Amino acid sequence: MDAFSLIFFVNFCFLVSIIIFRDTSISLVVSSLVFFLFVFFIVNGKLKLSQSGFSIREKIFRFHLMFTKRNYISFILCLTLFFIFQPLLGFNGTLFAVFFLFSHINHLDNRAAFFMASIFFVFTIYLTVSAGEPKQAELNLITAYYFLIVGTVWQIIKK
Amino acid sequence: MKKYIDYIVLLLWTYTIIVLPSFLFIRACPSLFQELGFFVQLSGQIPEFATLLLTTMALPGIGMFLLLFNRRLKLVTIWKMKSNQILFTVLFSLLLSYTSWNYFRILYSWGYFGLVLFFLFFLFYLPQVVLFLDSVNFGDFKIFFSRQPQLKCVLALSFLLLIHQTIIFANQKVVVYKEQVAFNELLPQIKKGEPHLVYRSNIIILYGNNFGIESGNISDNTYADTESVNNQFGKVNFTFWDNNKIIFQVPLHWKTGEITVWIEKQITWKSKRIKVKSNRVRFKLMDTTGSWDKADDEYFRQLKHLDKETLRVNGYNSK
Repeated sequence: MDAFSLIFFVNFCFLVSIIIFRDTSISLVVSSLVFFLFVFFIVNGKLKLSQSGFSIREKIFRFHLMFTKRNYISFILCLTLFFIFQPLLGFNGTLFAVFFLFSHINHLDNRAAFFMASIFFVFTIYLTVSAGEPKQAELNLITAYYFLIVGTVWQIIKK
Repeated sequence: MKKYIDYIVLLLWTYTIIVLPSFLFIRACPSLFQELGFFVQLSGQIPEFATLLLTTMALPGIGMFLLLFNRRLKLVTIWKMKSNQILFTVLFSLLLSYTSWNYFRILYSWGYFGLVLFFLFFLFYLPQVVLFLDSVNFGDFKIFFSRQPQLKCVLALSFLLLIHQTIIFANQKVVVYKEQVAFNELLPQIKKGEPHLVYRSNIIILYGNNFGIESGNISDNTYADTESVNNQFGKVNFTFWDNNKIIFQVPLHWKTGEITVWIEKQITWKSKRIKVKSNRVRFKLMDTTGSWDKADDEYFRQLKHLDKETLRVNGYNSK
């Protein structure tokens, strides 16, 4: 067991106690007691963790290495272009222009378009159900469909 | 003093680690399990998304500040990071700043300045947050169990509850603010009304937002002066009404001088129909009798600055 697993367990306790007690303050007390109980065992050596710290920086650093400098720079460049040209070309126009530029620089294939479509689909669900903004969700859905079309046409051309 | 600060930092860290991820998860649950009304009910118990975002930013910030004050840590400066870390932080800050900029309307109204402000904030802040979360490990909690552990645990729980109650209180303020913003968005707003100087029977165009597809009433202050406060009397007949534009003719019953005009309409707010008023715009009604004077010169001077549509509806040629 490491530090992350223990925290996940305490988070789980918090969630379960919210479901049971329907009160966030009681849930906080219960999960804090569980947390302090664990800490007590760890401090007294009755429970040993493989890692007592979180080393988030280390984990993020491993993530950094997944991408090259070229990927990062092209991403930052495209995002900046998106911010600059969005008022002139509109959201969808700028998004697709920047997407094509990014795909070209990074030699992406049509899966990138499907990936973008899936992001917009997920975001649509959030906007419809959680945020309660159906108009914004509708616009998102239209963008997602555009990406689906782009991905399909891209595949046809490639074949 | 240093010891007390250490306690506070550990408890801030505990709250950040235990409560905030769970709250954010519950907020996201209705999107994932939309068929289960249970999660919708549950999300009603926890703070608003905006409050959670603010808390997620504030608590590590306070913790980091206390650690700096206690000289436990030093600030992380971005230029001392490795190149890939810098690029990652810049990219992540850009994404976060754009999302937050769109979410928090106050900074959105500042335009690109707000976006740059957010970006710089995240660029500086994110490495500090990571440092704060990384700075604590389970061994540090030893201080809670050294002397009088029961008392310390009770005090720790009380402090955690205090943080929690503060967040709940802040959430109430956020809810009220959001309701106010949502209500204000429904109100009709007149952005412009022209011509400003009018004669009787001139045609005025009001431009703005939220006038509604259903037409309402245009009211003026003329009859309020005579203590005949009656909507019927204050009503002005319009020739065109849509969500962003209203066209009406200056009525014959208006008195010369300053005229204040506003719009009244019915809206549905919390399942109730209520009457709301827009902001007010002023016009100056001039007399058509008497000799030519400065006010008449002023009327013709203003024609150079009017919209083509206003000129056209008033019978002036406009190409």
